[in-house]
Amino acid sequence: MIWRLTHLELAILRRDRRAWGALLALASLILLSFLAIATQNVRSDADKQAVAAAERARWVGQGEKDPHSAAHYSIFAFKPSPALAALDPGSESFVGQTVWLEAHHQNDMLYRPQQNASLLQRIGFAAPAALITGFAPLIIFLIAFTLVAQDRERGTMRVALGAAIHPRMIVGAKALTVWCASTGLLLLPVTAGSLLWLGLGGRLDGDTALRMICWALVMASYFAFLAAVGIAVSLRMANARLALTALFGLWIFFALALPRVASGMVDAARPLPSSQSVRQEIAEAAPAFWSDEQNARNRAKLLARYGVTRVEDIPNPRMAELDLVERHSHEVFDRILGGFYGRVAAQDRLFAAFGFLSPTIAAQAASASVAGSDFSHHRDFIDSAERYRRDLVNRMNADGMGHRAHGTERHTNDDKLWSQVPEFAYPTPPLGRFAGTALPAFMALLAWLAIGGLLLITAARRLRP
Amino acid sequence: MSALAIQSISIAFGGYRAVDGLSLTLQPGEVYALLGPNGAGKTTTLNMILGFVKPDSGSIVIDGVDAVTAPLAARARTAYLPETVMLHPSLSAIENLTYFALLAGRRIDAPMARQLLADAGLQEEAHDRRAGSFSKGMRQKVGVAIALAKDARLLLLDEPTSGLDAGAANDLSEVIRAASGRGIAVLMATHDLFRVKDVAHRLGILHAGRLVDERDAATIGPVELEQLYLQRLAA
Repeated sequence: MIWRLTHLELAILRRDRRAWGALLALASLILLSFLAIATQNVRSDADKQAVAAAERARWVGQGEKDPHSAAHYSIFAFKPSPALAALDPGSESFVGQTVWLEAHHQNDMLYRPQQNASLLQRIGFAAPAALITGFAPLIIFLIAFTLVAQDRERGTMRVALGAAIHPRMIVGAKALTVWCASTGLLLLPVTAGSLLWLGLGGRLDGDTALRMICWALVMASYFAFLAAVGIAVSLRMANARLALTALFGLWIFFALALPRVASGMVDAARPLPSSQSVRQEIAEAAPAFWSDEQNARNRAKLLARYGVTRVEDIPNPRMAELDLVERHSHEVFDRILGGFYGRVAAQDRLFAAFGFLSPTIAAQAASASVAGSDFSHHRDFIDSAERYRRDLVNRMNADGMGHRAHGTERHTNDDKLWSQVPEFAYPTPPLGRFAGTALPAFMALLAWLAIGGLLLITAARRLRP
Repeated sequence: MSALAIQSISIAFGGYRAVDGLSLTLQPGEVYALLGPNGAGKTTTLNMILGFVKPDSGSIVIDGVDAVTAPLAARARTAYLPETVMLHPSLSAIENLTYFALLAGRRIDAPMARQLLADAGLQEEAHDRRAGSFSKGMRQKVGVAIALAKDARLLLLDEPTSGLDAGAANDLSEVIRAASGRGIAVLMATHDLFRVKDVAHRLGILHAGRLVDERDAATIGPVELEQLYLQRLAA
């Protein structure tokens, strides 16, 4: 029965031009935003693939040279767009898309998409997830208010309550109507569009499909909570004006104010050092030029490693020293950069925990995690590129150390060695590997859903004509 | 079994006794007009029968079901037409009927809905029109169709003729008679003395929450009724 009631309530909603028009306007905006970002990502990924292929050709064709020089000549690694980046770009716009992999340095990533923002993005055209988490509450509250307040003011609620049906059924049908309308217009088209887009682009594998489903579930849960709040508040307030004011206030509080306050509180509670100070710390711990004392210590370590007493007895002392310095820098990068990234992840975890204060925050954090566009996923790329860089440099150094070269002697190699280095490939991590960061957000969403259910039950219990 | 048995119900709002010891019994098919001026307690009485408010004391039994302790089951046996039948303006007559019948736990298909609307006197051309354009009389007819769809044993009408033109009021009288003919008991709360005289079997005068007089409609003429009404209110 509730489905037939919902069907009729949907007909009432569909014929209300203001509410339906608002829903359609936001739905169009979401689709337009998706198409703009998806198109840009396709172009950007094609560019990345083309440049990556050229980079590989440049690496293999760099000619004969000292392997350590080759490690400096090195290569760019490109980060592919996360599969659901067109739905939720998360931190993508603000993090680099490529990194220069060279000996001795774990470089910062370059070319943030924000630098090449499209016209739509420059005028503040948000991504689908941002539009949904930020503006869907307003529209959902509006349609919930339309369904309930009009019913009460028109007197049809009184007639409905005079029927034999339990008020819970009336309230449930209205909440279901709001949820169906919002999910059907704001979520389904963009989800179906995304699946089609990914399928046509050959990027729809099992993990991506699973991510898509989870993303839709996150947003559908968010909508369910909003529908419950919209209906419950509209029913509980003494009159329509109070209900509208309360709902508008809730939207501002949950969707606009709290995310900003939470962000500020996270910054204050878990401040990040500036990138300059991090670079300075690295430069001091792994300097480009060593002091005489450190050089002497390095030499002693090398003699011990080779079990000899004279540098001349080491086959390629220059390369061996470069390798020693390289491996020392790995420990420095792991400690300093790893610590820095750990602090960023801690910020993300704390922000996700603020999801218990605002369902919008919970939806934002969960969405970016499922879309694979949060910082945890970005760090995975950084770590993957760094592992590749270390492997490449170690291979070059190992080749040098394996050949005797003293004084002005230089060992060189050519494309036989360069082509032994596998191409850089970044497999997208499976869903769930980094869900830990956003776990508080998922828990918070569940808690909000339960709260929404309780609000509906209470509203139904107190429903009076 | 009585269609409605009210026994000594009373209710007070903040010290003001809106209904005071009202007792009333309606048999199946009986039409009872509860007369009284504004504030006499007519609508409060209907609200108590519908279970919207609980009486402070007394009992209400509808078709054998206690309306105070089992309001939902009692409402299933009751149809209610408020003073102005409110319909969803964006739904057609058929859709409104389907919607409210569904709320009453009845699933009706389109042919059945058309038949019910026709039985209630709504012209066929209005069946698929949106209710937003309906006159009060047309809305009343849809309301009656809703009551018929519910297959209720008791029909409650709150000021049913208020604002109706003579033709629409006559149509409504016909519908009430038809409902009575089907064995549905009808309780009308109204201050339209003359219209109800034609259709009611019994008349009760409610004043300050008390039933101050009760007559068989067949035994009293319109002029006497008006005099009696004014006397009772002045007392």
